[in-house]
Amino acid sequence: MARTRIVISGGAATGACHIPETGLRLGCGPMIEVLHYTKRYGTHEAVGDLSFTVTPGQIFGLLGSNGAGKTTTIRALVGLTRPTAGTVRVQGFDVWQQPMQAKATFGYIPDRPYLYGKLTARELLRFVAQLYRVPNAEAEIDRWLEFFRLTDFGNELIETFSHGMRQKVVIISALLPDSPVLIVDEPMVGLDPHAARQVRELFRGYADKGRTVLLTTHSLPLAEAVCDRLVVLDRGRVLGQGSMDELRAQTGTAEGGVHGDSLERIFFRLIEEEQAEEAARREQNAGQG
Amino acid sequence: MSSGPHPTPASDLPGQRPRNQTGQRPSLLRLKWLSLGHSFRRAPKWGYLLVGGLALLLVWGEIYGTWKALHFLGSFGDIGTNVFGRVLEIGLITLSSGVTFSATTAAIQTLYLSEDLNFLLTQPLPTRQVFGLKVFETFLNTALVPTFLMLPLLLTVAVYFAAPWWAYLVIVGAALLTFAAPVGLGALLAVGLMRVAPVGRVREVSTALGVLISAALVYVIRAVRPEVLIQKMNDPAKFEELLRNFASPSSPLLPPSWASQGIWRAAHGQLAPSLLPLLLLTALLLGGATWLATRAYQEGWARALDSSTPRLDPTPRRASATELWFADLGPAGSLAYKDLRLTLRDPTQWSQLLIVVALAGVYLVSVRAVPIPVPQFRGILGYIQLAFQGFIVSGVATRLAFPAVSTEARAYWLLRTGPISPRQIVLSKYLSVLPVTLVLGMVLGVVSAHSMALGPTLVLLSILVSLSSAFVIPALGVGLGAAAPRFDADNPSEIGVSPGGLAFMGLSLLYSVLSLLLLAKPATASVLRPELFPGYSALSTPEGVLGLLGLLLVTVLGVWLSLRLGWTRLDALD
Repeated sequence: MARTRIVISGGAATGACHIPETGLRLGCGPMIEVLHYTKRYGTHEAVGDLSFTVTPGQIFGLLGSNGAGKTTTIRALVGLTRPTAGTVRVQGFDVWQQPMQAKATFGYIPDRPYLYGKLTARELLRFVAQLYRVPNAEAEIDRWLEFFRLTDFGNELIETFSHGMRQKVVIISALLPDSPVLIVDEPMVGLDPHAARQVRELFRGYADKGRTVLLTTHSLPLAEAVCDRLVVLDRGRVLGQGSMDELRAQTGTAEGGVHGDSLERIFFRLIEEEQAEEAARREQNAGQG
Repeated sequence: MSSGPHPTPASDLPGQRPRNQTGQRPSLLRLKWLSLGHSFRRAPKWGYLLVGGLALLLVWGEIYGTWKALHFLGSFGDIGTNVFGRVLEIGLITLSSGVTFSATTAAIQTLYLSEDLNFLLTQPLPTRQVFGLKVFETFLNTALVPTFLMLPLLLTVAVYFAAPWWAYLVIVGAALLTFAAPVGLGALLAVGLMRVAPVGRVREVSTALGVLISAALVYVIRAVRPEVLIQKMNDPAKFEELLRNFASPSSPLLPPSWASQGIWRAAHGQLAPSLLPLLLLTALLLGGATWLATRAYQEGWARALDSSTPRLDPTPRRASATELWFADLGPAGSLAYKDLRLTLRDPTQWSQLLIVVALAGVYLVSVRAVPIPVPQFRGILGYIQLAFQGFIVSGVATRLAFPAVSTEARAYWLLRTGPISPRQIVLSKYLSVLPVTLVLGMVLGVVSAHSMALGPTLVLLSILVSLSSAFVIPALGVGLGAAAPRFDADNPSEIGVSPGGLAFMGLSLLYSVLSLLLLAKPATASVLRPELFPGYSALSTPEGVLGLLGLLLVTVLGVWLSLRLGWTRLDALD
């Protein structure tokens, strides 16, 4: 896939990136900053001292097993779960200190598409457009409904929709404000293969326009296909971080194999290393005990 | 045979026995109790302390107030205590009418829309058992608070009249039957309606019909005494007398009146025969509902899951002028319009408005009929009944204001992650409920004051106290509802029955009493010494001015602090 060229003008933190193909000028500093983020529930630490940044034009993937802390991190970034320690910023705005400014800069796709069942798809999308003050909202809604082949269902109550149709409405509601940042939690759940491919291409196109996508997924082929950089988490700790090449170098895994196989090997190597370290620690503790 | 990485079944582990070999049938109540226990252990203890403290205060206030009132009225002999008996009857009629109105919608929500039904009704459990659990939940959701509200008062009456020991059991039983009967009726209607309503609109049609039938039933029994109607319809003079009698609390066809008579007679050491029809009626309704449920419950539930057939019209439906007007007000305006739209589309929500009107109607009809021979009694009762009006506004706010934030349910993420602040959310919810409580409060205040022929001071005070309640009580509801929201309630009826909901009810009842106490001095002065305080002069005394200022202060502070608590806690929500 052809990537859009991004020209950096000005300083890296404060300057502006000019994207010649689109004429867009976006901030070139990190669009997402997670600094020493820690989340504890009582004595249980869900995420510990996590730090990463995402720059414009990137699709950044958070990977990990169940309970790794991916959703907890995403929920802190979108203002759903308050950090126990650390800072989370979107486009320079602290999500918990400047919530209104921060929330105006991102669209969010949650893992479960809970919506108002008694609204029609068009009414819900208009409500979202009003909250985000989207210009020319009706035409944009028509365009997105057409894109996801939902035009015929636009006037129907959402309670009559299938899981996949609801997920599409959620995706439209996140894309409608055309925010510089898109934060996505498990985007493909419930989508048919056609829609899944559309969404994959959408994310790539979104980042290629100089915007930023942060996504969590269990689908390693998806992550490998679309992500520019990755963080692999396990039980709230970072096991590995970087581009595919950097992760390969870190884990000593060879490139190649069938599509997606490479990331799978990296992922399991990181998990195995962590489990081996954990076992060694336990043995050491048992020996000391 | 595969020998993959499957976990060892519990029954294969040494020393463990499979659960189904114990011979014990699964108890749904035990399951619910377990779940309640977990919620209790995880919930903030300060909330329970607050609720416990409020409950104690409320019970003490009820007992103290009842005891004082009985002593005061008792000093006038039988006339005085009989007035208390009538007021008690009005209370029972109003509360059981409220339960009747809400029981059908609550039964539909609990019996058919609870999320745990997907699990329960697909397990090998007898339908009867699931139905029994859900009827019990309906009772808890609709009748628990009225029952606990009445019991201390009724038991105080029994103590006052030195009732024998068995009378206490009779009184508790009569109170339970008074509220169990409407729940049985609600369940019966719910099962019947869900079975016959057209597929695709089962919930909507059933809820709408349920509310209308409940309202019609209460009014038919209350206002149209069929046995005398036919005889008297032709004679205009008798018809007028009949209209007056409709409002009489001593209606022989009204179950709460049977209960009231039974309780009053039991307190005096006599067993009233009127309790027998009450017992039979409740048994008939609950038995009939169970009988019908064994045949139609599962099928009705399956029908409720069927959605309407989509019409698939690709022509875009654009925003109306009203929607655009609300949108011009900003995000809070858009939220208010969205809420209005959802309320009007969801019968479980708009039916609450019908309940409001019906409750107000029953109350006003009952108040107009109180036969009080002594003018001073009329004045004092006219003032005290303002507390009852506060209770009605609280009842309305329990349905409309307290759940306002929680009804966002699991779609709340859309607001929480959007550019709308908790302050805007709470204010939008409050301003959406306020017109309803203001109209209700004003109608109750003005109409009841005029129908009881109160003096000018009391009419003015009645209006002011009603206004204050109409502002403060929904603020308390929205504020506490936002401070302790329940986005994951199994069904909307459950939202009010939570520590936050109970705290709201307790605080709003206390507020109703507090606002009365603030202006009690000028009120009693104008009633007991009309020659010294003619017209509005009682209000220009130091006590009157201080009382008015106090009312203004508690109104402003009550609204501000409640809403502030709401948005602060909502913001801190994790």
